[in-house]
Amino acid sequence: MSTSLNTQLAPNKPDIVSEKFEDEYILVSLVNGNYYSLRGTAAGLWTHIEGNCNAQALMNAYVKHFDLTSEQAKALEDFLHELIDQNLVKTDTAKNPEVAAIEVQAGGEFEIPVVEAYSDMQDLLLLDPIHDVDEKTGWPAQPDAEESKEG
Amino acid sequence: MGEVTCIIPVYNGEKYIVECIESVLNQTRAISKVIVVNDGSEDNTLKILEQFAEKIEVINKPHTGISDTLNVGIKAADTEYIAFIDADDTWDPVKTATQMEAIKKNHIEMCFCGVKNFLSPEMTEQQKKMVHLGQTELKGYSKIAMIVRRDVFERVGLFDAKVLTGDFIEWYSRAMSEDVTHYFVDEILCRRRIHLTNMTRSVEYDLKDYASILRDHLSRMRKKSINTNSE
Repeated sequence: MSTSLNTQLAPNKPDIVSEKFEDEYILVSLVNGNYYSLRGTAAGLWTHIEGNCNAQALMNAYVKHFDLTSEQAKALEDFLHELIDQNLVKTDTAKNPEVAAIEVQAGGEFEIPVVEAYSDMQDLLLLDPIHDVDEKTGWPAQPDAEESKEG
Repeated sequence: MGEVTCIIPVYNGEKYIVECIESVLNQTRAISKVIVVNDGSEDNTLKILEQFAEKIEVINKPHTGISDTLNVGIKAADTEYIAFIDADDTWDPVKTATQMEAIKKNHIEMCFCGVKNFLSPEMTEQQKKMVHLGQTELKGYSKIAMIVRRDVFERVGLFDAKVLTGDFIEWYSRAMSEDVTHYFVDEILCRRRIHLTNMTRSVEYDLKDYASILRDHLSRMRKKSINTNSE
């Protein structure tokens, strides 16, 4: 909990894959085989992180939009720290561009945002090794890779 | 009716299928029937399979993808148990014997074992450097490490033909929600070849399929009110 929130936040790609399903984001970690569910207010916050944002600006915007109590604001801060601690987001404190104001689109009530973490499919998700991808050709020297393997 | 059928789905598997089939035929506890389901290969796979003509059954079909190919094999099997292997992987000689012993002893429906990932020898040094193999000995919650009672497919259903990547994860999720009993033999009994064309893990569109499978898995588990939360 020592990380400052004076930082840019972005999804920790390529280690993390995230996909939106209606009102829920599923994040998959290719590093530890865990997966995560973000619902409700947590999903709304992740939408801003997907677009890269400043953590403090995000805090400020939510505090203002939902008129948060200090307890709720603390829960929000804890949530952002947890995303950082679980390596779900990349932080960037070195470059600190002009902090754009964030407009919160979320409606309804503020719910305490939670990172729901699951490890029950870890053994299945970790079976395939990670490999580098050449930016120009994709996987080494075969831009038109034939499919010769099933399974 | 024999005891175990081995299903081998193959699509353009000419490079490695001989090694694969030999490892299946060399089991110390013999496999009753080997069914190779050829998913419309365009290389020399079919010709290569001729040398095993008396020992294996070959089913030819148009190219429809992995899940459908597996399902054709499952429907053709008539033994009490089914095992699977991909055409580029190999089993250790004692795999079937060890797992069948565990199944009988523990009275379970499905058995897994350890898997060792290895880099295919024809890869160049540069290509090998790009793969972060990490831990090579893994818990094989995968098709190639599984022996399962055939009637489990009647309860859980077949592989979902709509799933292009993560076919096994999707099926395993349904098996868990049906409480299929299972056991893990903590020994490396199969070898999984990592080569140039089975490296899908950093291709984002494939990984998004995983996210979709995991979301369905969570929905199933939430319905069952099983708390799998690790935190």
